[in-house]
Amino acid sequence: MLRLICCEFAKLKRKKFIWLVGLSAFLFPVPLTALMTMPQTAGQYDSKIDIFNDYFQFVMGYGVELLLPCVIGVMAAILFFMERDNDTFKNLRTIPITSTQMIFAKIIVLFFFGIIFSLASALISILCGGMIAEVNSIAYRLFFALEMGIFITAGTLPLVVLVVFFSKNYVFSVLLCVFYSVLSLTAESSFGALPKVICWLMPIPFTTLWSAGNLTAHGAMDGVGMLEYLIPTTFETIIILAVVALLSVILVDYMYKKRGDE
Amino acid sequence: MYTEAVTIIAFGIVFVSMCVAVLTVRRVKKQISEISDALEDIKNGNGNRRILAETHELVAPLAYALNDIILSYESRLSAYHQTEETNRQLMTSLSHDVRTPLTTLIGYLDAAHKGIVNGKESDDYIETARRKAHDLKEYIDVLFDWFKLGSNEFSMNISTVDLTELTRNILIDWIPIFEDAQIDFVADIPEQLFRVQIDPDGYMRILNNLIQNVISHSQADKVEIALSGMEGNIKILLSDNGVGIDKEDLKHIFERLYKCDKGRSEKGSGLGLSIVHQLVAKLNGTITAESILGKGTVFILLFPLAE
Amino acid sequence: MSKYVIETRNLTKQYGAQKSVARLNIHVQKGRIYGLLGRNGAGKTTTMKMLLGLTQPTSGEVAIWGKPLAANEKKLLPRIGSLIESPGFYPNLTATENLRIFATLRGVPNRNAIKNALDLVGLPYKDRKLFSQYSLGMKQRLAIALAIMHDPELLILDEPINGLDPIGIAEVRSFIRNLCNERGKTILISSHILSEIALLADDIGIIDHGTLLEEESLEELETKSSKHIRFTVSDTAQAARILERSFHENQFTIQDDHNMRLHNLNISIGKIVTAFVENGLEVSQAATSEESLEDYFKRVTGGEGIA
Repeated sequence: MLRLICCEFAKLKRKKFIWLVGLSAFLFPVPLTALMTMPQTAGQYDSKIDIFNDYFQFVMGYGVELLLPCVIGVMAAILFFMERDNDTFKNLRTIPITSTQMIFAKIIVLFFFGIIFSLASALISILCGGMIAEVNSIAYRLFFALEMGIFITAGTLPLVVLVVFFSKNYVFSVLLCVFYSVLSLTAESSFGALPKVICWLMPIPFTTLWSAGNLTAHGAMDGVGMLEYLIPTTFETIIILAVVALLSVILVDYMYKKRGDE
Repeated sequence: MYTEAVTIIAFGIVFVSMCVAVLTVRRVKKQISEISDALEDIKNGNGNRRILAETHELVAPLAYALNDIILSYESRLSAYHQTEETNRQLMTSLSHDVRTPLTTLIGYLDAAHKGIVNGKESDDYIETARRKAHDLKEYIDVLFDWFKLGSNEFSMNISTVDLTELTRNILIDWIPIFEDAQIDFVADIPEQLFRVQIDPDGYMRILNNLIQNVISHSQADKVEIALSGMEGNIKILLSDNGVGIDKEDLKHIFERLYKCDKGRSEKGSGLGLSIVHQLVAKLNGTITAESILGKGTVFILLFPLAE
Repeated sequence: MSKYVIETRNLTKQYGAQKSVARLNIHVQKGRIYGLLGRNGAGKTTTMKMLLGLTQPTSGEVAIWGKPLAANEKKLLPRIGSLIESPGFYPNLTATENLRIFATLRGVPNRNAIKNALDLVGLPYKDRKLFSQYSLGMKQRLAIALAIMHDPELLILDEPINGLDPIGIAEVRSFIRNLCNERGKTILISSHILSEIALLADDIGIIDHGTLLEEESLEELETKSSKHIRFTVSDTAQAARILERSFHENQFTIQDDHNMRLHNLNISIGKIVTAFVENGLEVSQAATSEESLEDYFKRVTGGEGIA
């Protein structure tokens, strides 16, 4: 399995998109840094710690929760279309490597990218934040980023199911990703109006709820106010996201197997 | 806060290393069982079986060493099988090649013996049978040479001789045969010494076989032989204006049992040129052939001159 | 151990209402080249895909080395090298990087396997050129390199000479021949070109509309399709004499005391039979066989022919 994962990375050599992934981790932290230094924004805060708390929250909220699903979705399209587009599936099948093994390797690579992206975002925000505000509890924030990376990737797996299901070109897949993010964002902006079941069943908004609760509990956020009743515990989050991820993997596996046999 | 994080990270490291250890042991165990499976198969005579391993793996050096050993034994075995196969083919074609002239010969003798023909015709039959018996003996001589060459029992008496003189002596015997076959024969042998380290008997066989081959198969009416010196070598050219050899066939003419006119039972063992090729190689020379279909063929022999 | 390397029993693949392969029974023997001959769309690729587990048969089964493939893929597939349809590689990687991926996943028999495989097909090792910049011929060569990299016992090659230039075709042909002759590999190749199969294969299976029409060794086929007249007479010795004396004909081979073949079709059978009978011979059979290999295939495929 380890060799299979190494090979998945080897296959990405010279793929320009990988560099875009790296760059996109800077997409939010840098402009946000500029925004936070503006007097009218900075003036609203009592202390430099508050500035950093809000700044970190913005970076994780937009950079990770909004952008990461898109990045993961496009990565998934690259990884899962690779064998189809290059007709290499037969070479792998005759080694023999089963489609299930192949899917596990690809999904582990997705998690790896999710974690790296999330950690990179956190690190950048800590570095940039250090320039404009007072940074606190670095270890917690990195650990939080690690959890976020895993949860968001797991929450994006239903999107991967869609990408594999339609199995169209890259443009269509990118559109799917954007649609998924926008849908999640819409749900997040209307938390109060939606029933609890819906909020909990949409993985990305659900993760956002968890992150708000977690940040508040660690004193990195002012509070969740009216939404208290929606906040899940870490345990609940892990269980629900694990079920979502598992179902997605089973679906992807089923579809991949069916395609391979044609 | 920090201690919590450190503890989590420490636990993570311990967990991961345990997983790696367990997986490594499992993988090596699986590979060892695969290796024993493969070895069992090889023991039962399947020398084509290989043990596969990834270059950086623990068992890779072991697997690669085993493969090397298997491969070296297998290639020796396969060379042996190939000789066996050629001999089998030779035996089959031999039984055909001997049976046809022999049966025909018997046909003539039976006819004479049973009195189906008599008088002058009977004598004629016996003469035909006698000629056929001689042809058959010639064929068997060739076969004998070929087997001796193949089993390395061919003794060579290398001495330094003048090749022009030797060639002239060989050609003298061929002149009446050329006349009988109504073939124009031109020999261009310079009045010059070409001293070569060679086995005179072997050289004679080479030339005789080549000329016999031309007479039997080329349907030429003109044959030319020319000797000349070339960069420390002596070059012997044997050219004819016969039917020529097809490009595809030309590549194979020195292979054993190769016949250009497949399916034809006519004279020819398919061994003559193969014997020539092997003899030339044993005498440190080279032989090549060039041909244009319908225009003729040239055989080029090269032997190194003695210092 | 089973007698055959590959054996299929009533192998069938159905797509919707159409049967792509129907009750196919092929038998591939160890150390031989089996040629699967059929027009495009006859079911060759589908058959090969089922032999490799790339497609599941609708019914029937595949046995490789006597073991059912479906239950033993993990053990059997690493011992097989294959080339199916067009070459499939990652366009953003070089030839060496591409091979390294598959070498890592499957394992190789020695440290230099990638270099050796590339050398064998005439591609440079550690070249900077990406797969996407390769010509069709080079892509095909790389696919062959992948098939032989792990030195498999059995090769399944689907139209291996596709996209190659004439020199490449000749190289690949002799390369395949050598793998079988010198290394004792078992090889299954498919082609829609009759001459290609006739040049390479030891055994031939003719497939048309998904069904196997004929399965025979090339030797048998060639005997069937060579041009000759077959005679069965009471005494071949006398028959031979009569042919030589009365018809001045010496292009015949004698099988045994009663069977012979005349390779000249220009003489009337009637005249020969009359001459035999007049000389007191009993003639129990006289038949002409003048079907060429092409005619033969045309007949078994129902007039449409191959290619």
